[in-house]
Amino acid sequence: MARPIWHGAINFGLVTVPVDMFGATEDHTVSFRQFERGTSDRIRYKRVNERTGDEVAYGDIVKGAEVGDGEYVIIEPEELDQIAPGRSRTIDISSFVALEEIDPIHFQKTYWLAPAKEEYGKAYGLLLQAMRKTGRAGIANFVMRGKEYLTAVRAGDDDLLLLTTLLFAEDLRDPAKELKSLPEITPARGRELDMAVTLIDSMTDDWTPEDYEDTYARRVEKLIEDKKAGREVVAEDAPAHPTKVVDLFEALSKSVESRKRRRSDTPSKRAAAKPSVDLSNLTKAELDKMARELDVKGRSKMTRDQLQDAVATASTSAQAS
Amino acid sequence: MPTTPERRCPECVAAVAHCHGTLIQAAAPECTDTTCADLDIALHPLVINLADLTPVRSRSVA
Repeated sequence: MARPIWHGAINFGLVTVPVDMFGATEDHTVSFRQFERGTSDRIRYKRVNERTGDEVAYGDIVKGAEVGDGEYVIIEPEELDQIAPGRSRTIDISSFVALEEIDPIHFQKTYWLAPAKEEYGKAYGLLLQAMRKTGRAGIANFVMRGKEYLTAVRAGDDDLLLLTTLLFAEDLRDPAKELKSLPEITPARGRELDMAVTLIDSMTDDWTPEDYEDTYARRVEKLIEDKKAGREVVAEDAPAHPTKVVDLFEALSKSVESRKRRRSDTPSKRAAAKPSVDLSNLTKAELDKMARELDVKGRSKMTRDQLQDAVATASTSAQAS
Repeated sequence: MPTTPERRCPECVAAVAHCHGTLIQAAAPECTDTTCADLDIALHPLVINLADLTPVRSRSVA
């Protein structure tokens, strides 16, 4: 059973709901330890006093901020809490936005917010259902372990509120300052652009994360198994060469043909029309998925209710055609 | 070897999951605590950037 990583409350107008925060994601990749080559000696980190060389216990480590010329100001954790009274205990929703408005470059990590006690379930459920109905995410700031987080709180499919930490605008780098040069985009030639768009259209699919697997992690696991068993490690094929500019149209054409052949036996979008489904019971995400399958235009800006109406209309049209 | 009286860790008192190691932020983050199972920055009160690990002797502390 997961332990909460934070206790606090979510503030929504004058409504305050005590919540616990849990990590909603985890890393699945192989975790390597470090050794000195040629030995079986582990590499370990020690936090030592730079002057004495003595190891320093966790409780004796304090934070210092450099103020220039090698001078530091020491800050105690309590002092950090004192400058943000309440912020370290509450997630204050200041506004609501459509999730689609947030550029994914801001997304960091997602957590579950669960009511801290059963008795808070009613207010929690109200907030969750209101967010689901509007399809909007609450934007909130809060402080956790000496760091302020900008977050988006939204209704998840598992009847839980999801909190995703976001990068502040000031965290985003300016490519014009960071890169040696920005790519010079020349207007694409008509037929090449059309063919590239056709290829994108032919590769357009529903987002089903279960369809994607970390094949590299599987290979790392196999490499470990092979080495453990003393088997020969076989190198994989070299990556593809860059496409020559003169071959671009031909390469695109072949790609489109290949996609068409692969898709020839896929079900038509009529399959998305499910007259027996009671749309009123579906979540916004489920309606959005159906809307995508039915090619409903402007669906990203629709509320849940608008999506329901649009899906119903599109389903009827698809069945009739 | 602590030189000051032991401080009660407020995170331990609050019974919230956290790590007493220092998270080293890098392309592949690491934690000084070898038992650390989650390199989420939110679980680490102590965080340092790999670039800051070069020893620099401070002149004075305010």
